[in-house]
Amino acid sequence: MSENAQAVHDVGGRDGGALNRTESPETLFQKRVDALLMLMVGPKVGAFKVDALRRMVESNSPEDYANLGYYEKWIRAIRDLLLEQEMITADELDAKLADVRRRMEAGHG
Amino acid sequence: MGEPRYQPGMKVRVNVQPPEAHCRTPYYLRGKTGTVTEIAGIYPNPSKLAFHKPGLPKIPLYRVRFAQTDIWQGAEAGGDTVMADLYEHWLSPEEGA
Repeated sequence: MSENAQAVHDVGGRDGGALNRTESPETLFQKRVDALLMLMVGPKVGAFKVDALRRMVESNSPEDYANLGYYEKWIRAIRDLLLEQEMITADELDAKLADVRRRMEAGHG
Repeated sequence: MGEPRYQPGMKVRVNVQPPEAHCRTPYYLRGKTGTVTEIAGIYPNPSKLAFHKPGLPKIPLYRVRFAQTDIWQGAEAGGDTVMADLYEHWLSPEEGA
């Protein structure tokens, strides 16, 4: 990063526009991502630290950082960190995603 | 890193320096002067933890208070402040303060 650059997540002082103050209920997806993170950083698995999660989240492009949801950024970061730590392989991930996609298309995902 | 270099009450300036790959110092505070209010602790270095290292040596973390008027142009002079947790390697002693 260049001398004293303002990183994508470092928004203090920027004009962020109007705040969306709409409350929305938590979704099952959000709860699952949260639970997965707790398992990954917990003492039993210890795949990475929350500092590494933040690093991955903050490495998004400005467009992705602005447009992806909070937990969408988390699950992408978890994926990238599990690959980085070689806890899963890209082939295993692809195979699992294909499996899930097949089950969803068959109507019992 | 050994003993904390700064104590509560000391004035410090936030460095303007190239940020490490995982930087925790807000952009809007760089170059600003504040007052240490407490030593928050001595913690593993987050820029190393972020890359799966143990984060050693641990580094002192300070709680620093800034006047809003020192940070934002046009801030009202009502005595409002900003508190920030800042690691020692981002701070320098403020001379003549």
